[in-house]
Amino acid sequence: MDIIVTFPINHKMTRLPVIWGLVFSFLFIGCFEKKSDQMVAIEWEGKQPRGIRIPLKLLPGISYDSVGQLVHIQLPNTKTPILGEYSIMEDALLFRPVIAFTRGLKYEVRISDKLLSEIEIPLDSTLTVPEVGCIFPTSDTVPLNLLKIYILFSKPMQEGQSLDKIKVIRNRLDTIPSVFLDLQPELWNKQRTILTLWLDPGRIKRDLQPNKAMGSPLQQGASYQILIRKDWRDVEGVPLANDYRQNFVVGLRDSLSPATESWKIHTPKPATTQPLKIELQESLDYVLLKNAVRIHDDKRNVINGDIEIGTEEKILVFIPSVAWNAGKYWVEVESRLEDLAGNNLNRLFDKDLSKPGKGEQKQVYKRSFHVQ
Amino acid sequence: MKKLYFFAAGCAAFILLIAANKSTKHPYGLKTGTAAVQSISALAFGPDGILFIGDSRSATVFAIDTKDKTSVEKAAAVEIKNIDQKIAAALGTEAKNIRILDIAVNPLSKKIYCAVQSSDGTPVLLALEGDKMQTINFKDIAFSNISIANVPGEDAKDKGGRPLRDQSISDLGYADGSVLVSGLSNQEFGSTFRKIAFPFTEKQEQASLEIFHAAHGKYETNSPIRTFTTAELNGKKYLVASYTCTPLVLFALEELKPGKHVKGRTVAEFGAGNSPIDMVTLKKDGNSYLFMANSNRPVMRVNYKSIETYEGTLTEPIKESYATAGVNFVTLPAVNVLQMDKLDETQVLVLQRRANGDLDLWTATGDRWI
Repeated sequence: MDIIVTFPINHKMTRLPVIWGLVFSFLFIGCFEKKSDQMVAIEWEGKQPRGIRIPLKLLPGISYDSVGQLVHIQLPNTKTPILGEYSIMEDALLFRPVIAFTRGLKYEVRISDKLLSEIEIPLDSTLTVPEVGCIFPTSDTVPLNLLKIYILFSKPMQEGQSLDKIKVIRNRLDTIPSVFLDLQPELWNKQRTILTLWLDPGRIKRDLQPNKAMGSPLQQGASYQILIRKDWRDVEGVPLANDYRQNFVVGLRDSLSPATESWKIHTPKPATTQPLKIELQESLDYVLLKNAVRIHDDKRNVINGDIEIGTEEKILVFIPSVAWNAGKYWVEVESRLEDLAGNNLNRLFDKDLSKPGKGEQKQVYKRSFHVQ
Repeated sequence: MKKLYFFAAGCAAFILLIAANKSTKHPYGLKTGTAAVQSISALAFGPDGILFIGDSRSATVFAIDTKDKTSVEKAAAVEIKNIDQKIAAALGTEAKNIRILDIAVNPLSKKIYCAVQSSDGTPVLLALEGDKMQTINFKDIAFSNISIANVPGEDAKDKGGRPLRDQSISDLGYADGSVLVSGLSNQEFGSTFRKIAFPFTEKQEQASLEIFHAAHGKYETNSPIRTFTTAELNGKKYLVASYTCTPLVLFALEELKPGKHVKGRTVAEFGAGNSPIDMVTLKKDGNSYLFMANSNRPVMRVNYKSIETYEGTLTEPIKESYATAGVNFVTLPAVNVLQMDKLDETQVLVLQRRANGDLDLWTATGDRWI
């Protein structure tokens, strides 16, 4: 608790000290400004340490042409000058490294190999902690030939870490290797918040040598846990708040393409913004459902709105931005939409050449519905 | 009279302008400016020191003029121990905060170019000369670029408001006047492979190919190509491609045409739990050899002659555990090779994670590997 103590004030008595106080403050600020003018300082761009500012007063007799040879910024204990650009900004020399300085590290400013100054980039205590939002598929049962999983993060993450930070545990006992394909570069979305991991496709494809030798990556009837370790860091260097775990069991092989004709469409009422709800009859690929399905009217005008994916990725809900008109609409689905086993609308993940294939190869599949 | 002077001066200025434009016109149509490279997924050299950069984040292929055209016949062997620590020091950070994404050697000067990414995603292109490093600045550089965001052949009407697809460029190559680009989608499991004529033009036909391979003649899959190279076999040019599930597949280059469903011939399978990383070709005593680095296997060597003589496609399933099939290959005593490129006709540049955890860049000679 703060305690505030007040005293009666005699204004005549206080006038002199106040004046002297102000004079002292100006002198102090003047000194401080003078001192800061002579100090090496960090240049910030938002939260990024993007440069070091060296007052020209600290560089007497150094010409602009010789700056690159004489002034070096480097990490202590290395003799390697950091790569970057020098420029003169008013009364200071600005050094901009190729990549931003690293928080928590110390840097030396050297002139003709003599130490001028050492500066430490402070850690940022205001950064938010990244979290795992979800792992798709969310269903507790997946097909034997599950092809891929998506991991959604709340912040952009550091790349190249996935196989080290993600473990798969079978029947609560064994950590199993080689479930996911070691793919470099990893498959991230542009924002680096969604990671796609493939289960080793060579082991899923029937009759391919890895499949014959090692079998499927997953075993039918077994239970698995995906564990994401909390020491995975985001692009700002902040680790995850907690370990993240998701459990699933493995069911039967899925050897059928998704069929849009079996989808059950619940139509909304006209003059409302009621959602259009589609029951997909099986779990489909979360990211592709978000990207490969569109609604348009009978004149091929795309209806703007949001797509949300419901329980176990078996339900797609479309919420229009404006009210529905009475009339005919279309659900248009790109043929690249896949189920959890990589079978798309046109073809199975691996096509058995001895059996007749699906003759029809369409770019899009359509279902109509009437708002009335 | 005054008017005449003005007219003459105008004409002279116009002629000078045309002449100036003509004199600065780049032979490959490159223009000087800032190349807005957002990420570097793959590097490949084209003709005359032109470097192609595959930028997955902006779904663009850039062609930049390195102006590095001095021809060198034989490269000096390179050995840089703890290269990650050396690059990190030059970038003012620690090795854990950077990743080396690709390495390419300029076939003319034999200079090494290295794509690095910092943990916040900043792309850096470095040129290495001995122990010295230099950044290639994307400002004021002669460049051209081409978007690979759209699916070729799909017109705006067909697209009907569909969002652009995210994809990661898995490999890049240059052969016969075309840039070859293989892509991995982070959504659907399929092959995106493009053949783009260089110099790039504004209106450009891009060939996007559907590439299939068969497993033992029983199952057929459309699968993404992880890495590739080109080679001449029996007098015919081929794309030699390896997939995420390690079959080695041949496609005749002349068959790669827009909108075509091209079926490749599977000539080998290189085993389980593995993903191919890089391929290079070396020559010795008149023979050509293919070298392939892998995520979970040592570097493999295949004599192109055995590919030429292997006429069939894989038809019989393999019974042995971890066995491989098709053409014969030799595994080399080089594991955990993360990047490879041809240094010259007899040497390969290798980026390898050693057993003690060190990351070294070194040179393998044909004498040692063949």
